[in-house]
Amino acid sequence: MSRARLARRIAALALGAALLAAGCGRRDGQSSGMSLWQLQGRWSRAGDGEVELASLRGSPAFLLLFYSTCQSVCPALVHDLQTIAQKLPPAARARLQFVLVTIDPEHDTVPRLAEFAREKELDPARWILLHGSSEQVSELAAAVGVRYRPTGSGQFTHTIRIMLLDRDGVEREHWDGLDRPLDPIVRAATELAERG
Amino acid sequence: MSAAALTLAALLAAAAPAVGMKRVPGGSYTPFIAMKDERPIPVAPFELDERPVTNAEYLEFVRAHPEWTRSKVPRLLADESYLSHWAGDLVLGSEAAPEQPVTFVSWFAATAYCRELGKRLPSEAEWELAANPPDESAEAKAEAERRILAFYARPRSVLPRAGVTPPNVYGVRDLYGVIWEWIADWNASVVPMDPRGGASAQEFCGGAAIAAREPESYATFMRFAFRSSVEQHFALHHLGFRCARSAP
Repeated sequence: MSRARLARRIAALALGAALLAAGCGRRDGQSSGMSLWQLQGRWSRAGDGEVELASLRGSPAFLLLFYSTCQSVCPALVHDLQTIAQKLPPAARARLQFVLVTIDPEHDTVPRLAEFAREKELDPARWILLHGSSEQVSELAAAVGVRYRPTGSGQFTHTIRIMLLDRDGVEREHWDGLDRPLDPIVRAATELAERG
Repeated sequence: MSAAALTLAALLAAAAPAVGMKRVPGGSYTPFIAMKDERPIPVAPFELDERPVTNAEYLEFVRAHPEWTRSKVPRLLADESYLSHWAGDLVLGSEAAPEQPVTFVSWFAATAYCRELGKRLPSEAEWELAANPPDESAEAKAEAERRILAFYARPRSVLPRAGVTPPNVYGVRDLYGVIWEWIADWNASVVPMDPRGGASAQEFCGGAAIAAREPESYATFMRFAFRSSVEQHFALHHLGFRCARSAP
């Protein structure tokens, strides 16, 4: 059995186990199959080795697909998330994770992402910057309906979307575009964090 | 699963020859709807299934991977229409002939199927290059365009068997005239549906820079519009797939 095949077997077993776990612990049976954290594969976390998405279960999270060399909207989106983080009540802030996934794994290497996190002063305890293969990124983007396309000059055209996930990794709400107030997002996140 | 069913699976596997793959020479692909700075994309030689994946072939896959049966598939990865034309989890039934292209499958399912066979979905560049051979005559191009538009316009109920249309210059069949097909980078299709801008354009960074090339190729535009409007967990009546792999 090749290593890739073996890895897939293991992944399939893990998926089964994850689904079982999700099925047992859930209040809302309808959405048990909707967790983003069921997606397979190992991701590199800037500054902290490798993780599986399943390890993100347990805390509600903001999710943003971005790339660090973005010249237009991504800096504004990251800044918006930082503003949201500041506006959250401390208890809610301590419960939320901020998951940033690069759509440009070729250029956003793990060290580059770590540097980006330092530049932006993102708290390593709450901000999780992930680097995966282009296939993993494509699959995650597909699961959340985010579209992206290289423009040919190192930039991407992409969906502008901030997503809010519950503690099981199920998307509860998303906000598109840049022209939207932050307070409703803060409120939604606070409610989700307080509900646990 | 009963022993009888297992035996049947083995018989089916033995009876059905694996789909042939055709070599498509590499080339240069200029996206129909290109971004402002988007340049022609070099495409390496690759191999493409000569016809779409059939119900019988997909059934084998589902037997081996029960997590992809319609009762078990997570909703994140396929909507409630997934394999809805089959009679059961492992039964094709009267609405799904073994030799018809499998449809009502999501992008995630198609991706998993190809991966299992050591293949992958073709990229947009590969699919479009295979479907629009650059060395094809103007006459052949016009004929293809006519057939495609006729297909896109036809209300369809019953799918033909896979591999029924004449092969193109690469020996690949059914790229037009049977089903729509998933591609690997489906979510790279970003077409602002309202060309005047407005709300939809604002949801994309850089969306205003999109400009269509060759406006006369309406069929290609239809494919781009279709891809940009279909989400990847959708399972649709006339949307199937075929697999590709890089040339050795």
